[in-house]
Amino acid sequence: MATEMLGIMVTKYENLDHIAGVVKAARAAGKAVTLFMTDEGVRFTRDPKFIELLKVDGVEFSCCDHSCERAGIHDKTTGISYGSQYNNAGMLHDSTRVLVF
Amino acid sequence: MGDTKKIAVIVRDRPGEALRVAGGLTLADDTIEVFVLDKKLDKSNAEVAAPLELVTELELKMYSNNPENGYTAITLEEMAKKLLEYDVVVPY
Amino acid sequence: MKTLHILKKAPDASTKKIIELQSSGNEVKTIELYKGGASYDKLVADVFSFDKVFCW
Repeated sequence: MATEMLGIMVTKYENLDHIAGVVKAARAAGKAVTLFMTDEGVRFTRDPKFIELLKVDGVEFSCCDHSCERAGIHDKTTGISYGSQYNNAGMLHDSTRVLVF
Repeated sequence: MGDTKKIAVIVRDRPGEALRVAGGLTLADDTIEVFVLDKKLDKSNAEVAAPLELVTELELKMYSNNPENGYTAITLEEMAKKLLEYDVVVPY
Repeated sequence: MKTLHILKKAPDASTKKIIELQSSGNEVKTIELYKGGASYDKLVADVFSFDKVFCW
């Protein structure tokens, strides 16, 4: 049986403790995890506490580059794929379950 | 990408972004439907009008429990039941 | 049908009503994240064992 995947869509710059808790618990349970940031959620791409999460194995991180531009975020963070809403569409399509933060 | 999914986007306090995301979700060839909850969309606001034009062009089915929006009318009771038909629900 | 509602903040009137309406004829569980003290391990287990998941 293929590994179940949890998709996490982050649209706000809040709930980091919950996001981190869920990501780590999902990995501990053997689930693949994909996380996409859009809208205000892209502010996490420059948040040191969030960037710590990039060290968790088995998690794919991406964000909406358009949202970054709108938020005035021009610096890129290694480990995050800067894409578009296509990443979100693919994540929702491929995920077994989706959480929205 | 495999079987088509049914995805509902619920438009609440950030209508422009919710509609933009709804339009973007069509890129994986899933079925996307939009529920405008309670509020009347401010179509004179460019932040709303542009993504609204997109979802209109994409012919996404739109429902609202606020008749002023002019979309397919749905009561909150009907919406609660209908939301259970979707594989993914994105409250935005 | 088993439905899971995850509340990131206190629900507004419409959200409360939707959850209440879905409770009729379905098994509904609500996790109030905003109140703190949630077990993320349990939450993840629920997310995968319930048929439908809503994050409000």
